[in-house]
Amino acid sequence: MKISVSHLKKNFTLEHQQTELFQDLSFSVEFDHVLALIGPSGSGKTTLLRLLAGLERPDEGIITINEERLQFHSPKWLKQYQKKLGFVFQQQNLFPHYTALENVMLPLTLVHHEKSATAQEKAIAIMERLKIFQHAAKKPHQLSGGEAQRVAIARALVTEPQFLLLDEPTASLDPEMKVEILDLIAALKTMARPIIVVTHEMGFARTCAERLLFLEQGVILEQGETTPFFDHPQHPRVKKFLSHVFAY
Amino acid sequence: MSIFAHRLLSIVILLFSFLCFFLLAGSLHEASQWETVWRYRAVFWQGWVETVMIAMVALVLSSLIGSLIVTARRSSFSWLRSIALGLVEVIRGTPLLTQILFLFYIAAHGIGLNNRFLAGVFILSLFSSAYIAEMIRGGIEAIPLSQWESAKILGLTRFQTYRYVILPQVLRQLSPALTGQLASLIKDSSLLSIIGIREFTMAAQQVNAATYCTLESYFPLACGYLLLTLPLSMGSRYLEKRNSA
Repeated sequence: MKISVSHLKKNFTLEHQQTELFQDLSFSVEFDHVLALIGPSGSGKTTLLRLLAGLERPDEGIITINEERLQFHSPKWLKQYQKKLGFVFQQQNLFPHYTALENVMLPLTLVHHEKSATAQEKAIAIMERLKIFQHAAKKPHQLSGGEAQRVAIARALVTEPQFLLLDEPTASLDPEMKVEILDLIAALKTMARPIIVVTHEMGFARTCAERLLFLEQGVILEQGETTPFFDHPQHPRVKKFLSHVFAY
Repeated sequence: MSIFAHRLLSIVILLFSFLCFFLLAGSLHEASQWETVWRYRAVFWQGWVETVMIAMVALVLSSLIGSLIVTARRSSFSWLRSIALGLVEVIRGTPLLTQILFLFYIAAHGIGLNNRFLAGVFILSLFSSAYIAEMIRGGIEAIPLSQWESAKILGLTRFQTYRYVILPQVLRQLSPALTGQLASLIKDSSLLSIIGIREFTMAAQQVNAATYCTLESYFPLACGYLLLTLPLSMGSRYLEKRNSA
């Protein structure tokens, strides 16, 4: 998978004040399995991921994914594009009035117009694979955070997307569940589907990601392959960040 | 269930005590006129049925108009939003009685609509729809942004998002308030007697005019309304409990 971003500009209006997040962001990255976006809070990781998903619109600049330019001005194009990707939010964002199984079936029946029986079959298959099928009949409020996140991942994967975007998938989970979900994501690598993940879990990034992008205040300070990145960080700010993170 | 039975019992006892009090007070200074009023029971019954009909039709119609107003209020055209907002403000800012008089004697006559039932039901529906619209709009806006985004990223169309994600949640949240609104609708329909619709209140007024038995004419009126509104308010409370569970 290849992502290139050139001269990206993105402003935010927070409390009637314009803040510039990305002033002139350009980078290009190529990877096969897992790309991790890391960096301190407020660095723009999540916004970058949302831009890649077409959930945000840049003020200026170009984003291309696998040589295809994202057409932010065309809602129709974006809709088609979004059908081909899977996205998992920080909070699971399941629909509370449907059961876990119905949540997973929903994109198949409504968006991909599959017959209910086929949709159910596929949903059950993916839920079994993610070891969540025993909770299929439960509503989201009856699920633990980790279970709900598994269902959310199942919902994102059931349509067989071309790639998967994960926005801090473990941020709202307790430590044990975190490990569970991280194990699951590591296992997803074998599905031969590129994953882009925003994460604060440096241990996970180290063992699971193959490339890393380090962002701070809307600027990419460093990017590279995982092992050299962690063993010999170049940028002083990255060095400091990593030494803090791995202090305990 | 025991709480339900307990409440029902206390209401019945309360009503019964009122009845006893009035009967006693009445029989002290003159002979009770219940037999006289009893002869007019068909008038009461017809009026009561008419009220139920008005409320039913108005409920359906006000939900429809209310949905249209919400759609307009959330439209991407600013002029449509302004019109809907203006309508809601005018309806909620003026008394129902004023609206009935104005819309019936001026607007309905102006367009040649002389069917009192139709005009009355429409005016009542319009009145109620403004309240329903504001409830639904509030409900929609209370749904977290994350639900919209989830629907969007899954590829749902705008219609599908409303139909399968937003509205089921809104309606569930609003079911107690909407049930309460139906109770208001039933009570508000009594004002339609002013334009000569023979609903329940009008029936009681007629019986009173014919018999001069004020207490005996209006007491059944209160009971008849309670018969409709009490189950609704209990239903509303049940739904509230279910939602918070």
